[in-house]
Amino acid sequence: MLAEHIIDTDILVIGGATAGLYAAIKAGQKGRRVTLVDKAYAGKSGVSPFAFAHHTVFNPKVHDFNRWMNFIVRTGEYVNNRDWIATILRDSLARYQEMVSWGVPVLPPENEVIWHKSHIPETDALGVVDHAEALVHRKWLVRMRDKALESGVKIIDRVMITELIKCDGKVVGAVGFNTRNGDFYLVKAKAVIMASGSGGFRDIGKVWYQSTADGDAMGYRAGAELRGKEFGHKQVAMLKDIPMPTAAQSYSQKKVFVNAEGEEYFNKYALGTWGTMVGALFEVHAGRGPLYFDFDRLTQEERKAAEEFITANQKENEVKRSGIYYATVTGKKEMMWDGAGSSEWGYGGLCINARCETNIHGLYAAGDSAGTNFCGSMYPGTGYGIAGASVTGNIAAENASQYVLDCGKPEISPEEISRQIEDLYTPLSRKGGFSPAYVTELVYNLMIPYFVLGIKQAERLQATSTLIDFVKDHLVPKLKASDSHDLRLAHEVRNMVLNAQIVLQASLFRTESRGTHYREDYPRRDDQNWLAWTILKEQDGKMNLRKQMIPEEWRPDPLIPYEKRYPVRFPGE
Amino acid sequence: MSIQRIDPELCVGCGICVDTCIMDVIRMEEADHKAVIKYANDCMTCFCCELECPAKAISVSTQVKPPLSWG
Repeated sequence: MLAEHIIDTDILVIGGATAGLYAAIKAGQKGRRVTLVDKAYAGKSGVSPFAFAHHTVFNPKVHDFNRWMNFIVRTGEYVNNRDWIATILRDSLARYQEMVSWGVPVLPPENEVIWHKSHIPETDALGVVDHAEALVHRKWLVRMRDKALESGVKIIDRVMITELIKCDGKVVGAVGFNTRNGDFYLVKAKAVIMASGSGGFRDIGKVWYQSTADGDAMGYRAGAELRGKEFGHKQVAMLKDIPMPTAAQSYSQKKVFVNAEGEEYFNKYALGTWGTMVGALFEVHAGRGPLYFDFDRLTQEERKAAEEFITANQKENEVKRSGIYYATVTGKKEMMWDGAGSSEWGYGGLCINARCETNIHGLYAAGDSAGTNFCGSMYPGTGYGIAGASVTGNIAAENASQYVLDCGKPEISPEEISRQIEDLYTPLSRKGGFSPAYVTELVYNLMIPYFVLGIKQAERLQATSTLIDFVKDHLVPKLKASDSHDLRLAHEVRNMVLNAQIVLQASLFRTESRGTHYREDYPRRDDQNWLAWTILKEQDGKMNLRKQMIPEEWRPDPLIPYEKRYPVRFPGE
Repeated sequence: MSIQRIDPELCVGCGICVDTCIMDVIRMEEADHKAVIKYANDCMTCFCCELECPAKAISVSTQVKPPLSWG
């Protein structure tokens, strides 16, 4: 018989990585009862533990705000939320200093990362456009877990939250289960901060393998709006058979990227650093795959520099996972490109206002769960993820902490609880059905091919959407889990399928190309119609999309010729 | 493929790998208090267990087989 745990709290934080722990610490310090729940182990989960661990720090005494804003906006191709860029830059120093005051271990200043170059040639002349301080790999996040406990936060590990609960239009808590023993959890909360990251499609070897857009899915099902779901990482390739993203993603020696004909392809498409991503897809599309990282093309000096870069940035055994290491030790060179080209670590998320409130009362979002759109259509560089998470975590905590003061005790009816229990455990109670592994591999094989989300096109997006719809309507309801561990996989694939549909629909909706969203049927940026955000939500049982134009004052000067407004050339423009 | 082995001779039963594993691959065997691989198929080959094991008892292979073959 499974135990039922009923928890009463002020603020439920879903997700225990950078954003979640930051929010929990701050809310705990304000004296609120905070419960943080993670489907794995808070402080070692999510994408944060795998980061090179940089926190962007904008220092107004030293750095030029307009220069940074210009760089970020031009990288994001003008669909950035500039208010959020300003907030993240302006709060970044205070957040970093606060983390240091909490005992978060950091590296000495000589390990700082300073970007002078971007992939957009004209911005190279801008000088310093990003400065990030380095945190000690993995240990920094564990310290945040300890700080949360010291701040009175109750941490519950290995519990996957599966559904938000609403009453009279307000979020009043959530339900979930222990992935190890199956116990039921009901958390009654006056406010919920969704900090469960973004998500992909079980991309093999990627650090977001475990992230299945749980927050987007739960938010969507609760009626929240999402924004920017057509944009996402086009992660650089990794070596075939070497599963982890490697130093190759920061690798600057372009001549190592060659196609099957031995030709260097990086600069063929004037895509800047996109040559490693979209350029790779076009080479493959043209039949010039497989692709290689050919480290033999480096001079001795270049090789040494690359190895020094890796050891400086990847610490300890990280070196073992680097491309250089494997290339030298194993002699392997062939690149993975399918997953690489179309991995969807999404940039979008739950729509939030300046207070990190979603459109649902009582529901906040922080970190990658929050659709700030500060990066627009493309991520500007290292350090912004962690800085964005600490800034939004702090803001969400501040506002949620205030909000709960006026909230009464959450009321959840016994009927509602029964219904939630039945839904949650359906995959365990079925006699027959489809395994989560089967449905997951189906979704992977539908979404990962380069010609779906890498090189997008209407008929292919629609065809994939039709099949994903079938999976959602006919396979997901018949998921059968073998135990509580498998039940987590069942709920994750359910969320993945919904996320797949969201990403496909958002991609179909935006009939232009911009940043990480490339449509071969609409290869140009369409500033007349698409300087806008895609807002998506459930309405009358259907997925509804609408366009929200960006503020007039954020539009680029139309007198600047198109090629100068957008220096990155898309194939087929 | 992915996590290969937890050497019971070396394992000290500290449980760090059990906490560290994001995909819940490793569990503690109560009988002899050693870590065991329970759900190998869900290993995401992140190497974190191998990195964090104080007894160097865990070996993870770099070989992964994706659901869609390359090229």
